[in-house]
Amino acid sequence: MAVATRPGIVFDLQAAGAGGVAGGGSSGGARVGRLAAAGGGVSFDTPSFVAQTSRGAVPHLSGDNLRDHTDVRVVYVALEDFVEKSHPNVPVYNYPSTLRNFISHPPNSLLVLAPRRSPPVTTATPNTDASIAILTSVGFRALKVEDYFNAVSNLRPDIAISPPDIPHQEPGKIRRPKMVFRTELWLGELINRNTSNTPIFAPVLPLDIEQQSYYLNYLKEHISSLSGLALYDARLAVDLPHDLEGLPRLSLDEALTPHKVLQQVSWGVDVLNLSFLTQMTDAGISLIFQFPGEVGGKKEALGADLWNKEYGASLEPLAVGCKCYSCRKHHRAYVQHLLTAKEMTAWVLLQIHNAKIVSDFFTTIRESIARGTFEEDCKIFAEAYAKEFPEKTGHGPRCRLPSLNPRNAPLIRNRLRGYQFKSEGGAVKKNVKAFNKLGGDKKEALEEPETPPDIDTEELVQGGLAEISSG
Amino acid sequence: ATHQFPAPFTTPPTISNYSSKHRTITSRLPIIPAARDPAANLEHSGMLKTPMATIKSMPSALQYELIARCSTTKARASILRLPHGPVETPLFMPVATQGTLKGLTPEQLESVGCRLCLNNTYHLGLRPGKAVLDKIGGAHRLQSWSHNILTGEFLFQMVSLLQLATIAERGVEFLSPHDGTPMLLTPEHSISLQHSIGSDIIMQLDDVIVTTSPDKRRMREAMDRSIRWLDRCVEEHLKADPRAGTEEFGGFEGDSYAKRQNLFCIIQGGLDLEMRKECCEEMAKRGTPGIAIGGLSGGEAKEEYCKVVDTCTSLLPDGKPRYVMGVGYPEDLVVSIALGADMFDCVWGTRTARFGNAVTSSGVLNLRSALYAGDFTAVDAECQCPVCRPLDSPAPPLLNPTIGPPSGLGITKAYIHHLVAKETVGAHLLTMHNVAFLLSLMNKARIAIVEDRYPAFLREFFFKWHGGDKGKYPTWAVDALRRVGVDLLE
Repeated sequence: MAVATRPGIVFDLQAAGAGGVAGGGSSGGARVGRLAAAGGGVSFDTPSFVAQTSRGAVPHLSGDNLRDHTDVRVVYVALEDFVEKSHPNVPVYNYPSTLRNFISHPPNSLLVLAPRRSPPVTTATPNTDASIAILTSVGFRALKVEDYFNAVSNLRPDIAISPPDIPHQEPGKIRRPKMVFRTELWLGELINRNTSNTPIFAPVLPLDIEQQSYYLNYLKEHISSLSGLALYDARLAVDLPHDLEGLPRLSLDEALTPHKVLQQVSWGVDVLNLSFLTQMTDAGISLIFQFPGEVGGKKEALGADLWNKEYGASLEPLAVGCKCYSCRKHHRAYVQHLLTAKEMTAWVLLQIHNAKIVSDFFTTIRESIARGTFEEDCKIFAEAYAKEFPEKTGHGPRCRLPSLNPRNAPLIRNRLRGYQFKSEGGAVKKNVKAFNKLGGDKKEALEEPETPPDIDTEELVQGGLAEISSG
Repeated sequence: ATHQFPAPFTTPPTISNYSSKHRTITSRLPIIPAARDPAANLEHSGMLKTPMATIKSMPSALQYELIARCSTTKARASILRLPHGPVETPLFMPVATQGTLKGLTPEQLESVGCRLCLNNTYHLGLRPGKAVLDKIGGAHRLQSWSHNILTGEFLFQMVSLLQLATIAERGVEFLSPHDGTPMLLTPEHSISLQHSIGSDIIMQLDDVIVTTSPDKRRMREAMDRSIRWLDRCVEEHLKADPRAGTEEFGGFEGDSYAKRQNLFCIIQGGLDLEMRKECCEEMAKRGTPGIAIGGLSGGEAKEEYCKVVDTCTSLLPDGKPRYVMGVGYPEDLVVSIALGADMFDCVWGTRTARFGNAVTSSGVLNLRSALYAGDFTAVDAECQCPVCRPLDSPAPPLLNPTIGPPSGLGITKAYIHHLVAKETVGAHLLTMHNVAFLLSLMNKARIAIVEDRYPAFLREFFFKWHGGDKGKYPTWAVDALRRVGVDLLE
């Protein structure tokens, strides 16, 4: 069943894979499909992943590496990365062509535009009816939703996500209906102003389905203007109304481990946002998992920490059997050397490799769903691999992270350096001081003159030192 | 034709050539006439220090084929055939200090035309270390770089990186920067480490002091010691290579390391032309496959630099490559080529890229400036590197490629401005461009020499570099080029 909602994006549900299994069976809610951009030539099978960008570039990957050495087919770009200056001085608005050309994005992948990064940094001020609070490289500001709508028309991304109103704290009784109201209002505006026919993905808020039921009805009514859904809570994919089933689902609910990825796929998500891709690269960990894997005696690790000295002379590829550029042309000893030397090339090679492992992971997921053995394969994967990524032991590209244990993730998420990560007041310096005094840190204290002791004047007079003057 | 020699003069100091203590001293240095025939000096000089008979002959692992000579200046173009492939001179060698060019994959480095890059022996000796290098099989294997590598101790860095380094006759004593243990680096150790690295060109360990030092006694001591250390390096280098005769490395059993790796000597002597002359003669006797002119690019005045290079190139044998260490600024490169130098290396191009500066044919542009926020033109319109070419345009043909080079990316100045100093991708892109620019500058110089229009190339380069304003041409360059027969101000 192909849903051609707008001319821009075509989503064929269960068109990929032979012998498509009907909705139920052992695939559960998991589904296979093919997302294609009409006229753009880019198409890819789902479930798949969207690569995060920072300021328009996938971290560590220049355009030629992204285009030639990875299978990334869709990237997520945040407008807040581009609007330091106030409108109309924003360079990307003045650019005579599209956002895709401004960032020299390779033609073999799609571009999804959203107002904020995912996951976004907590802002100082809340959203209003007409604006969203954002964080730019020069500080917090408010982005008028009107400006966002104009940006969608002018920048012409392949997909635009309608702005959601999501507060940073748990929303209270009154805040929740306001979230729904604003989101619906903004979506309506965007649809009306969508003069360039950019495909729109409607957000589904991280609330209960009942609390958004009117909003979901609105979506059903306007389904012909929509090209997909952006889920901020992946679990909702299971409960979505039947009418919206044909829309592709992009989950912006972070999947922190491959097990969580499988869980989201089983709920029916089509495109996933993986923050662990860049996080693992920055941690110096090379991903080595495969789906479904093999159940052996011991649970295998999800990744190899290349900071480990044992890889110092290892000519093995970053993951055995991997065919990515880093594994074909380089080896673990080189990446280990680069990491200890703190060379940027370490993270370039790791990012290429990890992106390949992730895309291979999704390829095997799709095959498993098509075969109808997805549920069993998920169980095998849960048995075969450890639940969490290995602990990080070395320095990241900008800072030393104590641990990437997802339990601590909410605490440490905002503790990397870089304007993209908000710092808290009174924070301790993250990096060890690189330059120290030649002779060590001990400073010779200057000799202080001794102050006279505190003695009462009466005693001084009695001792014959002086007289209290009367004048 | 004899050259005109201007009277000694003092240059008004500028940022690049300011040398406070030595303005008066250096202006009175004698200028030695540049002799065209180096062989004449060698045999008729009465200052022979070491009789030629006692010097061991040294095999060479390179072939230097002179293709063309400029009929006006001293510039030469050649093909240098090294164990890992041919390179064309004049040649710029990017510095991949720790086994990588700061964020670029070896494929990217090859795609911008590099066929010979530098590694720093000291850094590789620390990490990953000799044992790991032996196990892996050398730096080529470590970095998966199939073209040529040049290594050296580059003592300038050592002296600046180390606490309390003292140079004694047996070697350099210093405290390890990692744990403070006292270490000793001897010429033998340095050469042995370079054997483990397996580079195609290795440099001797030299005693180098700051060029601008007024201590003549120390300068002479350094020069003499460098010659003695060269002999020790040669001796270590002529030892039998245990890997010779194996299938992987070829050759015959019993061959020395010298059959696979080329040892270059490094001429010392500071800014004293007499000392330089002496050093040239002595070191040339050792018969190393190539010669480097060291102890320059340490902040000395540019006129002195030019005089030293001019003097040395006249004294060095014609059929061997000449490597001036530490030169990478485009103006310095083209002038040094005119003075007879062939090979150059410098960290400046890549380092300045990481700070957001792009080297273009119209000068160095600081892309961090707000001027470029809305500039949607390519970084350098004339450049053919992947960064500057339009998106998806095909790559031009390159010498000796082992990979299919990437098609264009169409990066604009505005996008670099957007990324630079905020995302590492910005540094990678600018690094690729800067290296491509410097390599292509050398290529254009080479073509100009082959077509015998190098003076015209010089005039064109300076004109574009200074935006058409002849008043901005640096005096040292104008004078140095005049001495080799080119008038920039014409």
